[in-house]
Amino acid sequence: MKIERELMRGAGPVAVLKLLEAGPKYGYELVKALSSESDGLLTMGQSTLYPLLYNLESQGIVRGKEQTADNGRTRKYYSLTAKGKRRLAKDAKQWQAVTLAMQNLGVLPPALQPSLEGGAS
Amino acid sequence: MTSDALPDAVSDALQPSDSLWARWRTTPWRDVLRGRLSGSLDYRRAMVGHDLPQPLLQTVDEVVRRTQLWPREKCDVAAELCAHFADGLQAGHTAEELQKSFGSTRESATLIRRAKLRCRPWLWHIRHRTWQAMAVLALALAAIWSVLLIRFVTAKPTITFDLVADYDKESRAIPEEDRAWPLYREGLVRLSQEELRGYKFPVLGALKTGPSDPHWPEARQYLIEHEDAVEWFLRATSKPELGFINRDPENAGWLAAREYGGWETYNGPDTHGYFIVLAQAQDMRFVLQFLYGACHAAAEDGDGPRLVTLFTALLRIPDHARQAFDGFMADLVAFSFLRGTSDLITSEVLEHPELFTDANLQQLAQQLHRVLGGRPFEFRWTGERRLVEDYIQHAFSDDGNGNGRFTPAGFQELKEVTVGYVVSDKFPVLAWIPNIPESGMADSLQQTLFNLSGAAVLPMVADRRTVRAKWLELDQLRQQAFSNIHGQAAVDSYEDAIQEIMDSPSLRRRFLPVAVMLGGVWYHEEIRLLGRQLSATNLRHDAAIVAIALEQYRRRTGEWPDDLALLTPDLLAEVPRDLYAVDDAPLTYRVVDGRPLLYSVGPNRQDDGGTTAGDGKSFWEAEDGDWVLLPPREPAR
Repeated sequence: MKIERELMRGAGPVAVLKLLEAGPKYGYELVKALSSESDGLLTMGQSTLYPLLYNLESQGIVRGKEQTADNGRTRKYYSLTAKGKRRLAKDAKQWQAVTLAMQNLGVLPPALQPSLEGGAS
Repeated sequence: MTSDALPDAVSDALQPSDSLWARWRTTPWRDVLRGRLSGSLDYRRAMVGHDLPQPLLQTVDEVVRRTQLWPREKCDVAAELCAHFADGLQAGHTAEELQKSFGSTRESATLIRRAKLRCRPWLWHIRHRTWQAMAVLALALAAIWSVLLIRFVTAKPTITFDLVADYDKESRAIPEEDRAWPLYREGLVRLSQEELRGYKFPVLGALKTGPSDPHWPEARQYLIEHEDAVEWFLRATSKPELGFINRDPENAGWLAAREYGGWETYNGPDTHGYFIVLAQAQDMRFVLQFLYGACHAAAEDGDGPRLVTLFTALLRIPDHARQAFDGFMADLVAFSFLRGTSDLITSEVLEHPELFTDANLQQLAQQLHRVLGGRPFEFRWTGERRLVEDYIQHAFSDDGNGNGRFTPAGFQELKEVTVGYVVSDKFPVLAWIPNIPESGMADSLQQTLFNLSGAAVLPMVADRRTVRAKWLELDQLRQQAFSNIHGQAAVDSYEDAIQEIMDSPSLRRRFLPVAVMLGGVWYHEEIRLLGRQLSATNLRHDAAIVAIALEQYRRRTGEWPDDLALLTPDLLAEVPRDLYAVDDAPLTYRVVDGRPLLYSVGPNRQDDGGTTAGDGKSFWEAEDGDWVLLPPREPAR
């Protein structure tokens, strides 16, 4: 199943923030995680991911830092800032509200639980 | 300098550039200051060491190059994308898979650029937005300017009548035997320009002043030498109409003698606007002075009949001068002539009464009553309004409904009309917009400057209908200001209306032709003085009539009357009113030291006992004191 572009535009940032909540990640890692943890639904090409990361960086929501990995490769690791954590909490609540509304409308079955639980922990 | 390189298998196109310019552009200032052109900000150096297959390197290179970011930003993006692909390869993906999953390089470059720009410092954003705003503004201005330019260069006046030709048509309708101008012209060509303006100039003053002038002997000799001219002038004054024709080849000799140019260019088809040359009226001043001189000579010779003949001739000249133009400008000249002649008659009648028979006095009184069509003397404004219409048709386009827009031709005419006037401080556009060039490639730059500058400024001038209405409105106010000597409110209304325009830059631009012509060329501050010339004409004309009546009374009774009322109704129809008296009282009269004293209370409207301001000012310039009419003043030198 392929997600519509507009829907992906709204879901992509919050999905990336949620993945970063667990700790810093580099670009390829995020691509892999998005693909695997959403059963391929939120698979994001690099041409979309990196602009998204730069945008989040420009808003001060994530911070990028170059680090040299064990294999000697220099990568840029992205992590959530305090502002990013607040943003994630806010976006997650909104997604929960949207999901609930969709359930009430019968668009989603009542038993379906959102896989992305919001809020900074 | 060192140069890192990509693997040999990689296309040369992806190798970092070793050119000096490329290294200069990609070297940080820090390195430049240390004397090293390291080229460390070349993003292709950032791709070194990732050991990627060429297709992936090409993908990275294409994306990074398309972003057109700063060198350091490009380096960051290149390093990150290379690391990404290296991770993908390490995870077991092929180069083709990774390239396919990457997506569109063009779209990626656009999105990355957009996102990276958002990361730039706020100072950059301010500068960027400022440049963007300026570019948008410049484009908008250029678009507006282009529209204005097209409107400007395509605006052409529509000429529907030739004012001077119309005047000439009226003159040509006069029978040739009734025209005075050809006879005046015959006399005038006998006076050379050198004589009138050169070494014999003092003679002209002596002709007017008479025997009391030290140059009088030369003036008498000059009269003898030019006796034929005087006779032509006398013949001219016997004609009922001036009959001047502007575009007349017969004027060639006169114009050449006066250095006025060719007859074709005298008020020719190419000279128009709120402007007309009245050299014929101006030259009649010489006629007047010659006849003044002849009067003084006749009086000196005791030749009464000749003197009366000359006075009769002189009293015809104001009418002829007035026929030179049907407006205010010719009236000013005519009134000036009448004042001079009235003063001379007054003076000769009172000082040389023996030269006049009773019949002569009666005849002179009648002629004085008839001059300029009789009282009241008033300024005419028809000609000025015709000039307004003429300027409007030459300056504005015509949409067929009485409206139109200001044209380059109209602006050029403003510039030409104002040559010689000090108007540039209020109208800088007249100075900085160049003239329309005559022709030729060398003038193309000037033409371009004229079009560009004119297109920006001149559309601010109101449309034809609005300008015409404002002009005629002010013209009406001016007429009212001139027609009522006590009408201070009328003078103020006119001056306020003009001043309102002159004080406001926007109104000066909106009504540019009106402001230049009425506020710049016409010195409206002098309106009071010009208006007073009419008062002075009336009063000095009254004085001449009273002087004749007084002499007639003296001949009957042997003494001057104690009161002017004694002259009525036989010798004087009524006692003249004092134009400046508060209660419409008559002119003040009494006999002082055996001589008649007649005066007006003058502009201050107070009786100062018949004393003048004594500050040497012209008759109408004196604010204080009385305007003494009898005894007559010494003629001005």
